[in-house]
Amino acid sequence: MKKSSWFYLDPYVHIAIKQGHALVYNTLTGQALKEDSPVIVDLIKKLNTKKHLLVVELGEEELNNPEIAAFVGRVRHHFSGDLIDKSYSGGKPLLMRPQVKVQKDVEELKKGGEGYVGEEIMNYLTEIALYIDNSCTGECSSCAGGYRQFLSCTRGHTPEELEIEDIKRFLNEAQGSSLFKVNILGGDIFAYSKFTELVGYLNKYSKPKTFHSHYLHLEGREEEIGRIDRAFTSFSILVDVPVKEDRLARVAAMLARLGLSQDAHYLFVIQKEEEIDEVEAVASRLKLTHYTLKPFYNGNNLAFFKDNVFVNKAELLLLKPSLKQIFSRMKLNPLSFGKITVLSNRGIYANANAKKIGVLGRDSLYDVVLREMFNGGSWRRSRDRVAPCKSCVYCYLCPPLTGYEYSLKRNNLCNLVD
Amino acid sequence: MRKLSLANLAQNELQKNEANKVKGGLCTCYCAECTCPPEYRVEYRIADKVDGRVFVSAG
Amino acid sequence: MNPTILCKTKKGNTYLYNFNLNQFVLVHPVMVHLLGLAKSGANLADWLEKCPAEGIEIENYGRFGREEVAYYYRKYLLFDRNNLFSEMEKGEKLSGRISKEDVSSILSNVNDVVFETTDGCNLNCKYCAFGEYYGNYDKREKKYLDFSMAQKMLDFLLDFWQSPLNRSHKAKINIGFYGGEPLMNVDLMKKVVDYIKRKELRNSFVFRLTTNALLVERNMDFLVENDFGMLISLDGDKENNGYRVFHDGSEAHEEILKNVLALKNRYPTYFERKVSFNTVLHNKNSVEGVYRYFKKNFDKIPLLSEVSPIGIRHDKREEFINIYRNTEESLALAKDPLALEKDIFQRLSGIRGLCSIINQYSGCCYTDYSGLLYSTKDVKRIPTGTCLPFSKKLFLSVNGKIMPCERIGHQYYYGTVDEQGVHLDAGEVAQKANQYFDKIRHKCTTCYKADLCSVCIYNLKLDGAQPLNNCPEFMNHEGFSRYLASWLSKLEEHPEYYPRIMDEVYIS
Repeated sequence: MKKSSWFYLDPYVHIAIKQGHALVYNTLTGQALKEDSPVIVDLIKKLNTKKHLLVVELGEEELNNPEIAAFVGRVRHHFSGDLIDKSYSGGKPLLMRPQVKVQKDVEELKKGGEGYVGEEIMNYLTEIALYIDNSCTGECSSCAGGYRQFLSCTRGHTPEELEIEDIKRFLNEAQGSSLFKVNILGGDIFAYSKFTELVGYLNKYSKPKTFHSHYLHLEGREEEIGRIDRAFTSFSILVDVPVKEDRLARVAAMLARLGLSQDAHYLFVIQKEEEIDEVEAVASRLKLTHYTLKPFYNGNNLAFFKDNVFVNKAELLLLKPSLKQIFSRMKLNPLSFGKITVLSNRGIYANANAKKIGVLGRDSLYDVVLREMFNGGSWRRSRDRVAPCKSCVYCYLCPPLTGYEYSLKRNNLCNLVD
Repeated sequence: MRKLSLANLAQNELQKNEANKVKGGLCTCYCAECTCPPEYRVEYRIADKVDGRVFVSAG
Repeated sequence: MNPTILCKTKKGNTYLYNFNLNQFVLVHPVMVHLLGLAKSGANLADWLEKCPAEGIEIENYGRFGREEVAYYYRKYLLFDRNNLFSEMEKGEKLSGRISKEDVSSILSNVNDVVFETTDGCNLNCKYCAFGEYYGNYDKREKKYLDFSMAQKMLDFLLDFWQSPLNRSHKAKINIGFYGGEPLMNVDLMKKVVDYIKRKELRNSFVFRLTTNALLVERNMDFLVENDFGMLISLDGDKENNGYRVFHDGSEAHEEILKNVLALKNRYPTYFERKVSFNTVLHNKNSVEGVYRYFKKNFDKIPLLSEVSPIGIRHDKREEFINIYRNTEESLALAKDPLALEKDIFQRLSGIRGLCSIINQYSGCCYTDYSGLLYSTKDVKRIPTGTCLPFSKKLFLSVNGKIMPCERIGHQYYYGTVDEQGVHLDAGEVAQKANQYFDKIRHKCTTCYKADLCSVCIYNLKLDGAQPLNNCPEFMNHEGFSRYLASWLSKLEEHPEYYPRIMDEVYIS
């Protein structure tokens, strides 16, 4: 056994230490070591300090300790670190311990000085969803809370509509931003009283657009759809289950006639396990190429969610999150960041589940973006802010918080923590 | 990977975001911070000792 | 280009930096050996098969058994699977060109406007950028910038600032005054400040000036009332300050100090908040000396500059080399350089260099939140470390030239202002800028330092029609390896700097 060695963890490794447990996750291999022994957790804690920066000296005594030796062996086997004889060099190596740093960190900018939070802030805006109206004759069972779980239409009792001039003003303010998607939703968007005028405006608007509609609302709307400029435009078509297959077939055929098959994306809403195969069969029969399945929590299908949606450890590691992805989850919510939603009641939201951050017609887009960046209630809502995730070593390996956590009223949609 | 797993759903959304983002474009955030008050030009004198000093003449 | 760089530090540790990984990894002597074999074209799998059980002997490190060698081979394969060794091509990345739309967008977001109020000065400092040592500026004719020119420039920019292409919320705009000695045309400064205040814009404006302080006392009420950020040029005590002289050659220290103290005594809070000092290092002062002087007299740490080596006249080279002093070397002569370095820290060019290295090569630093979210794979860049025109500031010279900066040769203007108005066309700016970048682009595509280039294109000889064949900072693989090794060596000497820089220093 060597006399004295440097034991180190490689800087492409993510370390998480929570409540006596430690995770050593290798971003190159996608493998993780989970350690629970106090001696080893202490050693990992020591390695992860700003004083040691991933490198500690291990003497003969420590290396003779079977627990430590076994841990060193595991780390080496995983290629997550190594043991280097001290005699190979004249001094302690220096590793740049991974620590995410955003030079324009909002919390730092808030402290004052040269920078300010509002600087270049429109760079952060990427997506706007406009619920132009809320009237719909449909009866989808997922209507009640679907839009809170994923981007989909919703219906209201008292008819509401957004003022077209407010919409235009709002979208004009986004011209310098990084906006890469405008979503138009309802109700039934074709029932919007100024739909033709809106299409005329959007046809000239240079950013990409997606029109959302339930498939049944598309029936008989060939002319209206035909007036929409195809350049930079796509369609998201909601399909609830059970599917009225013949009518969906006719809609698909219409879109094909209009040359829009490539730009049409179908969204099937699933509430039961049986529906998965059912929907796959329909998609196959109708030869639909672009479609997704989205689960919907209706208050009574927790078991379905537990079996199909809740993540397990194997899936997390299968995705092999990179160090950059882990960093992004520490500083922001990659799923909600940059997205603004305007509901048909003129309320502006950074997340349909969170508090209003403005009112259309009263607040400018600049104000709203600043407010959300400043407060970070949704755009920067990371798992380390909520229980039980903040006490879990998998915190940053898990996917970011979604609308599902809100609807299920629990943050751990996983089989990792009870 | 189960189709409806939260991990899979999130991954698809993130990939969509990446695909939607405007391709290419010019990087506007980098420059050598040459001036601006009260900062001043970043020098690399330590490296210059290895490579020798450099003077640029007016010609 | 080879994306893997091996660097050996002074202490003898070997690291691998990789462009795809963007991190430094410590490497074991056996791995170094394997990398060497791979570089020379050997097939490692075959070589390992033929490797005897006793293993290999590596000079200076000893014998390593076959099993250990096989372990490092597997680690090598892991790196290979993660694209650490795939050939890197920089051409595409550095092929960025500015468009007319890019320029319009930049103009809508200009956040720093500097007016050269006059080219006249009440001092005649030896090392002045417009003095006897240099030869790349318009002739100094004691002209004064007319307010109508400044007004036209501001009106032009105001249109852009109000457009939806402006990306900031209530953009904070810096208005700076430069010279010569800007206070010699304080009338212009007052008119500009007044004009902006009367506009009552959504933006906020911050005023700044760089001054030799001789006219501060008589103008201090105006400066304090408008919360001017003040950078005072002062090289230390009377002897240190020996190069800052009046036109008759007499020293100006006494007069400068009188003004500074008057300001400090009359407005102590303002002095503490808004006044900084800029000290030029030369053969009449030292880092230690100026540090003590400013700490004692003003409780401040000055910004340290060196005499600029750009644009030196040929016949002045000898004299220049004589007065030139390097911050690092001057610091090393101090009684306790370490303590000084710890206190002066990010005001030292050496530390700022370290900050840049960490910012670029630690794999942890991102400019903003967008950087965390999206890949930069298909984002193109312009070559060199030059800022995109006007993205850092817009400078209006006393002769009506619109330039991207006040520190470059006056032949590099992109537009003009005259009685007729502002002549600045986005398309022409883009075309001119692209022509400059096209001259050096081919050289940058094989340079290993391209990602952290500190060359300002306006400091290269751009007048000829031919592309440039020389770049003062070009680095090949070997040069880059030594470059990285020297910074890593510094960090190994001061490991506490890494967490300190990560926690305390923000580059914006």
